[in-house]
Amino acid sequence: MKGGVSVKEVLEEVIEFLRREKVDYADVRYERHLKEEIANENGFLKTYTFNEDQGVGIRVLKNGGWGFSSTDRLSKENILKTAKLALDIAKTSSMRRGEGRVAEEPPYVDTYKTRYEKDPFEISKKEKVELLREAVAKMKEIKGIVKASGSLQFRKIQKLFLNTDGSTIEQEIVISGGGIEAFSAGEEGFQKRSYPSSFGGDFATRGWEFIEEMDFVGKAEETAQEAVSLLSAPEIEPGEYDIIIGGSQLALQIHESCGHPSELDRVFGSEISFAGGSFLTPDKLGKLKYGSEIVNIVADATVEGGLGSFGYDDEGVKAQRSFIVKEGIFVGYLMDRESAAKLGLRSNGAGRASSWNRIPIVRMTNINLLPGNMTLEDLISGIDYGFLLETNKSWSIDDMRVNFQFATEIAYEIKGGRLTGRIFKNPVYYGTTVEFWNSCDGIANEKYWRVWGIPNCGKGQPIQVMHVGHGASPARFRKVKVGVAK
Amino acid sequence: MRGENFYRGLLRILNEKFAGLEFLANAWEKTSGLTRFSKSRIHQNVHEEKINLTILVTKDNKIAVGTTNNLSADSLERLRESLEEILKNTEELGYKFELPSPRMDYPYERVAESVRKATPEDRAKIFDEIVKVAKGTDVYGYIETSLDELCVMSSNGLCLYTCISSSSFNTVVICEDGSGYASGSSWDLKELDWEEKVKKAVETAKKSRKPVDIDPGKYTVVLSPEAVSEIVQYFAYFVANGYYHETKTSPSVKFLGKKIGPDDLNVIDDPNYPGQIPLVFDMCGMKRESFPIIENGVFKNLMYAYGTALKFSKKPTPHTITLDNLDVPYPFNLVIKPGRASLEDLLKNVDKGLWISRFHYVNLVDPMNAIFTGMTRDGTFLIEKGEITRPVKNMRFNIGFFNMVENITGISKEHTSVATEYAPIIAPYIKVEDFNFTSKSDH
Repeated sequence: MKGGVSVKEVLEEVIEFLRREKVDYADVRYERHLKEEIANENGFLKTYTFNEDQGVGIRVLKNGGWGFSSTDRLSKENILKTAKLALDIAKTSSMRRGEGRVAEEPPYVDTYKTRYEKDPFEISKKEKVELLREAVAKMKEIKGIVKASGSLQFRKIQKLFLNTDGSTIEQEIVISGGGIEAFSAGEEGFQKRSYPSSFGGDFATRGWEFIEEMDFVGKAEETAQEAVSLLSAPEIEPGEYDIIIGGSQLALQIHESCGHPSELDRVFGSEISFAGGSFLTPDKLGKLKYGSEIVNIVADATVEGGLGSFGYDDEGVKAQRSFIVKEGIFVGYLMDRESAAKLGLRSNGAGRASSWNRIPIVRMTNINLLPGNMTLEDLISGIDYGFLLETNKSWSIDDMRVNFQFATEIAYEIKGGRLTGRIFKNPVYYGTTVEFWNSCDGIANEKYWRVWGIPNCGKGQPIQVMHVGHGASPARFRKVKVGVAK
Repeated sequence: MRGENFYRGLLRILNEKFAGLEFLANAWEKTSGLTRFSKSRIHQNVHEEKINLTILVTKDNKIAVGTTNNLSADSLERLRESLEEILKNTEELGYKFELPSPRMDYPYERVAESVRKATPEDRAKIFDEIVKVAKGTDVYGYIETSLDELCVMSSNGLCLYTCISSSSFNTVVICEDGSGYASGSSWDLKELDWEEKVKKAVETAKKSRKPVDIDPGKYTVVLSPEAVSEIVQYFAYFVANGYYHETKTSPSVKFLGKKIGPDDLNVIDDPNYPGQIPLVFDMCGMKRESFPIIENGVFKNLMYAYGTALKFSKKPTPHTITLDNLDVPYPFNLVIKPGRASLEDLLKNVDKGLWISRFHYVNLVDPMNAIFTGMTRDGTFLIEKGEITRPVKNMRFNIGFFNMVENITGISKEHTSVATEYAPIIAPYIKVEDFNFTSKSDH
């Protein structure tokens, strides 16, 4: 910063200014985001981008009204001007029946850094490009593959947070992720297989070692072969079946039908005009039989490597683990400091902002379905006729998070308690949230459990795209509707 | 607002800092304010100023793209180093890359004073009025004002500047278990048509109380402009997309050039259409004018982003949305043109059908057959013997786009702007036979 003043010193000055203005509460965040993205298509580099983004966001609560202002013009003068604007906006809000308040939180002075073995930004560009080229070229070699692609993404997010409670928190979050896809096409249309998951692959708060472990080159051939086989595969006859949902698809099921409805700001109507509301009204807390007794769901920002893991949320609340569903009963919400205060509770650390120019709102951290005690073979052996569904292709759920429909890339047939080796294309399953989770009668154990990263969860206006995680292992559901009349 | 001269100066700096490399750059500054309300209270109220410089550099038929919002000399030098390192470590593209041809044009400015000078108080006053109009109900929504400056520049002489103002709103009105929805956009805050629309949403909310359960199945539907815009936007992005067409992952391979709907079905991308908020060139500097996608019922044209066009030896269309991925086209100013029918015409002769106010969470289920799914929300009504009679609970649809347009039996004269995350979509009401609902919800 010009004049030898550090960003931290300016932010401290902002907090002092806002204290003098006798605000109810204020916080200020400086963030710097580095992002590197590489994509390969058919063995050729498609794009290699490098992004740098930084700025300051200031949030003020005054007489119950909220104001937020952000800027990327980082002179001391402009940051102070931004603080004044945030204060003015808060005053405007307070005159419109502003009733905002924040739940109590102790001050923290701390630092947090993602633990990783290999800094992805220290890995040579050549190595990244070569890895993708080799994996994609291997898929493209398979007869019947019309398009093969792969991508990698790395992010380094540096945050400095101060608030009027007295917190000063510095964090560095590192994210690595990627995936590969193979497309086959013929007269019947086209089919796609993705590894390890669709829509960009899997992501974690880890380093380059996460990419190495996924072994894209080793999995390329199998991924492409399956895409080709799908092309001539039949579709499932619509009906009710017992199904097993694989981990990566179950992650999205958890995301849409457990994570979003448990966001307390949705319950209070903050998102009604955009993302919608929630059926999980406070009268259901501690009472609703959300799922069967084996269903245990936690919000856990402390799980190592989870894409939704951090040291502190963007309101200065320490990362924590809390139950959303315990032994099938709905027992807790995802909360930020404002929504928690409305229920007379403390935040459980889910106030997150996608960047410096956005306010923290209630977001998922890692919403995890805890592992059960069965093996995958146990789950399969309990099905007379049904399917194992894997890898998301499409998703949709209603505005209150009740009626959902998912499509997956592939279904594996199960007959007489065994996988038959037959595969089916274009599977679609649908249902309603509570009925569905109550039909769960088996969850695979920790050996099959993994935290899947979803880097593109959208919420809020202006839109905020957040990275969240979902721990899951394959699970079995009885009498689920599969296939949709066209 | 920094003004055209600032960007001309930035081009001079880029020419200096990136000397020896060819480049194409987009500088986009957004200054916006958004006031959000919930349960008739302002609960979020934000302001943002941010510039983004995206620069694509090319050398030896390689490309690298960088983005920064730090325009200091040090930062630009660091960016150049990063991009040169990318170029050094990557291989040639699989196609011949060249920068877009240079083009000069007058700067285009369309800035309403009401937006340029908009304060949080101005937005709050509209909120106050919405609360008054919707008295006795709860309102949820937002009001946004935004000033966007964009300059497309290149080392070979491209320098195009535009500055546009925009305002938009949406409101969900809730009355007991009923709800209604309104949205709109305008370049001028004074022309934002919230009042009549919110009144209608209040009416819808009141009428949609105590919805009844009906069975899913095929119904004749009258889709509101909100619902029409949602489906057509997905069609345009996924199906009228040159990249998916060339990679044979789109039903356009079957339907392009064919008659797919009635004569009065016309879908265009047109920055100059009344009510639009114009983007007059794309991110490669191509001039944007009226571009027919569906013309007189014929699936006429695909959008080709710049990279796709080079790769597949096609002519690019002015739809490149980002330099990060030159295969992504987008119709910034989508318009579904009005037809000839009145709303009464659309309703009459419907023995049993549904009036759809809005869709929620539309997504593509089967790309090759353009099958979309989604839910109804904020006011779904039964039409019986030509009259809107009772509210019904929300249902899920699964519909093939080409089946849908084949079954269009009426397009209204009445049309309006619908707010989206980007520019508005202008759409009429459309009547469709045999619209396929496959399951239902509980509300």
